[in-house]
Amino acid sequence: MRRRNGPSDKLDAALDGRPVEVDDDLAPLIETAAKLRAALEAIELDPETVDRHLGMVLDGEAKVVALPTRPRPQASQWRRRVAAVALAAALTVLPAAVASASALPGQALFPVKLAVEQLRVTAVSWSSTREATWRIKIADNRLDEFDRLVQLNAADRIPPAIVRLIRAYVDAQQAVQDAVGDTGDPSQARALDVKLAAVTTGSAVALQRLQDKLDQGMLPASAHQAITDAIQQAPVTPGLVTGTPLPTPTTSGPTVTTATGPQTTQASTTTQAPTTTTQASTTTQAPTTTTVPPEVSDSPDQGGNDNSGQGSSGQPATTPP
Amino acid sequence: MLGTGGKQERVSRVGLTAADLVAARRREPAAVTRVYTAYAPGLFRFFLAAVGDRPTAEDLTGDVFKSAIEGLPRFRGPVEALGGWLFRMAHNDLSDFWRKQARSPSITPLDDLLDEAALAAGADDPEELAIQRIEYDRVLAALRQLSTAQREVLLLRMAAGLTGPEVAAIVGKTTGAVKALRQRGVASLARVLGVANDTSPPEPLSRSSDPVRLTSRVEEG
Repeated sequence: MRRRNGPSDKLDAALDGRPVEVDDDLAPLIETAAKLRAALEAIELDPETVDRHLGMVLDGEAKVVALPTRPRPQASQWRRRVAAVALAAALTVLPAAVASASALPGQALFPVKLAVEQLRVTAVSWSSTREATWRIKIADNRLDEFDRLVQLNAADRIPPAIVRLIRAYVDAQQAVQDAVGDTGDPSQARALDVKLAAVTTGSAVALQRLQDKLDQGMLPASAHQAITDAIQQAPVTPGLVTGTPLPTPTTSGPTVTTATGPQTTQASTTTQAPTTTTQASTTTQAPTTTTVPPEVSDSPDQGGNDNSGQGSSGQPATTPP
Repeated sequence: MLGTGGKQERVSRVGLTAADLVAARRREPAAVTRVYTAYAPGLFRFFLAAVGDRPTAEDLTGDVFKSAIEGLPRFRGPVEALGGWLFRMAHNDLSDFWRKQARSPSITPLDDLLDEAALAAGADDPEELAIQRIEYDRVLAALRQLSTAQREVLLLRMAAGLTGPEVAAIVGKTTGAVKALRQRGVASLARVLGVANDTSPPEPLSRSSDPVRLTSRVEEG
């Protein structure tokens, strides 16, 4: 007959987190187990190691997703083609461990990149300052991806990229607020503000570039509505850069200004960017002209249909559709 | 072979589904990443706490993960059993590692358990973190003074998060024996750390983390 409620059973229960009467004999064991648990939980994998491990398995499995291209003005055509071919070649010949760092949405290694980012955030979550720094870095990554997709005229991938940028930016902004509240060091708070401001400015520049392309008809007309809707919700809009609202794109979408208000619901009519649609339905716009992005509530299905979303919960949305 | 029908709703303790398992078998990057994210941290804790050397623990973790993904088509159990399967590999790899170490012992430095560079770069309170790190270091060094069996049982339970029966299956002992090993292991650890309230004086523990001294105490319990 098995003896119940012995020290071993009690320790077992305590290790499981079940309520147990702790007597004088058991107390030091529980304390020791707690110390061991804390020591173990402090052990984290380096993100570089994570990348290397995933590369060991995924290397050779990754396929470069063809990015859409279309005829462009003669002057820059060869340069863009070289850039696209170089990018594809780099992603083909480099090990997955390296390639994931530059993976674009829609490419096989993009979920790996998001997972590595998330692990980085988790690894530094003990410090609100470091977490804020990484969240800003992630927002900067989203900005870089968005910018590259614009350069590649990857029209169908641009709206989800904007949505991801918004979410990463909002997460970063929240993290900066938390860090500023936590830290008593004004210089650290200032440094975070400066980094975030750099992303804000970069976003404005990239969005301006996108707006220019829309105006010049360099992107398919069918993509205009979705892109325009996504721009409406971006952290900053081209109007902030130019100081004046830019012309309305060729579609019937709303004018690109900083205060879009209820017009964001127009995104619900688009079939180009379902993620943007979801985004729009949960977005509250900043009321006035400001660099503060709209607050975006976290929706688990906002990651887009390219398997690449990342919510403010920090979990990479790698669930396949 | 797992189907993709009625079993899809089954979810493991770490949030993996049968569909994840099927996709990981096909080496779909997202699913492979999910498997890695679910188990690699526990594997790494298990190895690092056992061997005390970060690069070695990283290599062992990577090897187990690679073997697991490559061997996944041969895994026939439900998704809930994946953790036990993975840590059985880890247990076997660790045994191989100790055997090789015994044949050709090498002095490997006890690596820092936290990323010092990260601490130096952005620590909120470097002094407090340094003290905390020393304490973690002390606990894990004490852990390595336990017998191999006690240590593994503790780690499989606490680092890997496995249940008693799962641990028993991996180490090839009865559930009762595993419980007893765990009880004795925690008691020994308490004595070494000076937590035990018994009358015997706590065993002195050097802060020097001398790897030779630490690894030389490995003995079967």
